[in-house]
Amino acid sequence: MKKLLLSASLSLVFLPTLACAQLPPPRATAQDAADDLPPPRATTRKPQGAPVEAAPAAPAAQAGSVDDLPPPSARSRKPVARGFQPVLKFGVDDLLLEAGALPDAPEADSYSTLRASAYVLWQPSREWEFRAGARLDGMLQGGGTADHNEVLGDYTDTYVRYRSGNTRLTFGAQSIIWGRADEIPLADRVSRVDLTRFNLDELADRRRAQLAARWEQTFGDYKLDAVWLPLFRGAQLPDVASVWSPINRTTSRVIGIDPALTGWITGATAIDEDEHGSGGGAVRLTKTGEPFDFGITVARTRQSLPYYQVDVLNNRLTGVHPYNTFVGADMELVTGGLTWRMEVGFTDDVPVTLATTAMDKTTSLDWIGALEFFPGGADTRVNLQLVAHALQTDRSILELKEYYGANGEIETTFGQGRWKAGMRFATGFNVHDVYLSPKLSYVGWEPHELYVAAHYYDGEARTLGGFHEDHSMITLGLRTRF
Amino acid sequence: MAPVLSSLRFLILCCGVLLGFSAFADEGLALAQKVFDRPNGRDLTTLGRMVLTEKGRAPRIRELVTYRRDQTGGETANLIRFLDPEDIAGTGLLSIDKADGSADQWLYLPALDRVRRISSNRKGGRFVGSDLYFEDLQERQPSKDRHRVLGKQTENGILCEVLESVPLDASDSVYSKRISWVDPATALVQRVDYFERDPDTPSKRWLLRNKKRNQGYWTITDSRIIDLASGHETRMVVDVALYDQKLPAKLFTSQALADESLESEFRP
Repeated sequence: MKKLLLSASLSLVFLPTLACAQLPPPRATAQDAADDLPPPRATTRKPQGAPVEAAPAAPAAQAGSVDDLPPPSARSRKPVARGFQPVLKFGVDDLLLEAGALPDAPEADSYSTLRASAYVLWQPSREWEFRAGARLDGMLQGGGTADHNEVLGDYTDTYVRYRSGNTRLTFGAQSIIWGRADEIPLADRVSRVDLTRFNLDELADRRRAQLAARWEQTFGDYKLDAVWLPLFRGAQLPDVASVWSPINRTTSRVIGIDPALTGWITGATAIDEDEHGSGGGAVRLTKTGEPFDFGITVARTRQSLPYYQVDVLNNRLTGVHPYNTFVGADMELVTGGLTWRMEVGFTDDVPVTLATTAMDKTTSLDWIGALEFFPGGADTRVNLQLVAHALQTDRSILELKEYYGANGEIETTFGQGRWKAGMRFATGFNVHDVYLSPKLSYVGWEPHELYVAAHYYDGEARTLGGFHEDHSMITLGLRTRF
Repeated sequence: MAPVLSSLRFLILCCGVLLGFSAFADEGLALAQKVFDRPNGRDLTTLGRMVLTEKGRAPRIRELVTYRRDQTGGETANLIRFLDPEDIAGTGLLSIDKADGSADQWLYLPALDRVRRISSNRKGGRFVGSDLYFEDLQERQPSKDRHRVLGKQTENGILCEVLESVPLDASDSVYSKRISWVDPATALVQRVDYFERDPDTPSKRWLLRNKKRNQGYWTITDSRIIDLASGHETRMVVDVALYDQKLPAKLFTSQALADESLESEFRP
């Protein structure tokens, strides 16, 4: 029995030895390299770039130091947060320089862009904020039948903002992008579209500021967002000579319309825009938190994208923006590592073109279901979206009555985050409509991005890919801000 | 009789071994709990930098402010806002870590002025291109791992307890194992070796470089995490730490996430 007990005790004694044998090697001294950090931002009170106090001496490596401090207690001097500090910021918030080659376009062989925007923001008190911004867009198109260059000046977000408690009021030019889905959120009813580069840029860069009065009220997890557009401005359209114009006078086509009925469009066709009046108003209620986020949107607005009213007799196209009512709901939830987003919307008074080329109005039902996930929980992001659009009319029209498709984006990083590779895509299910845009970026030279990208379009008549099938492009660009 | 005695002896030996392991497991869990429970205030605000270093290349520096608040019901709320570089400045991440180990996360994208709900399951994704995985940003509950004390070893000049932690559910972590060197006096971890695919060779190593007491609380002011395969490392420096500022619950909402101005007055 004594032997038995001895065996048992020996086993207990032996255990730590077994465990110790698994100990990894100690830290190598070489791992503590010299401290070569630049001086810290001692406090956020100092504007960035301002000289800071001398950096504290690099702390001696802890190795070897005697750590004999008593246990923590809440007795020390108590520093405090900075509180409100007036803010004056300014800078260039976007600079894009891009050269593009159009191998198949009859209008041009190259299309280059220079885009720059600058801003100044002043917040003198907790309540008040003032912002002013301006942008310059330059395009150069050459080497084909429609050489063209232009420079456009415009304002960016330029507003006065007042905050008090849970209320935020903003008046002035603003970019307001509602919705949950990427690329084409249905609830995006109060923004102004920028079509100068069609869909070459991501959503935020395809919108421009427009005059709006906005009231945001938060109560708990809920937020009420009300917007009134006192002065309507249509979408920023490219010049009709641009390859990205929605009207192609070289091929006699209008985007979204059956080309068999637009053959009369020539270089002499007059193109007008009807922008008078106000843009309407919209309200959006959102909730963030358990068990999912959702939003409800009701809008009576004019959409900035034009509907072209056809006047064959006078060889004229007039871009009009009729009011329509939109009622939509959206939600977002995470389950099993997947983020699900969904939007559904009903729109009335959607303008369509009858076979006689006269304008008619109908209703439309739209739906987007999106799924975002990170395969393997790592650095690749996949966002897949299914879209459905159905015009509720029995009459014969020149537009597609139904469109079902998918779009989305796959992106990944590599080289310790210095490189990004991605692919944006869109495809139709019931019609042939393809857009592919692979992009490779070097982002290791922060905050600059150098990239090479391609945009490939293909499709049948009346689709976006079909309209731009000759405008597939390869680009090389630099994008930055400072 | 002899076979019976032999069986009895084997049984007692097994019990002894099991008791021994059990004792080390209990000791391990207690040590892990001590690290988890180390006093760090009801709330914490830090202003810091992440320095991403790669041999032969200029370092990339991210400046960020972080807020943490212990909520009711065992929840912890965290808000991170990037201040620099310009291409990510203003981006915010709000995370509500639940008592059961799950988390709700929202990302604020300034370009779209939009708050997006994101999955917190992206454990192995690199946080802003650093060597930190998203999992490294979350406080891991000790109950999610099986712990045992491997022994004592001097690390960073301190005789530390060496703690091995293996996830109870392998799918619950990007790591197959973590070995931590814990200073028993302060419950501060001095080093962590992270194991992923290879159970014998760590893939990453975290090293404490400097610590400081702020308002009575130990603060890790300088540490680094090294990708042992590539040599790439991320250094994390806390320049200012403020404890117990009575940060309001409102700071950890989508409203504050989307409006930098509401949050900025709580910065150091």
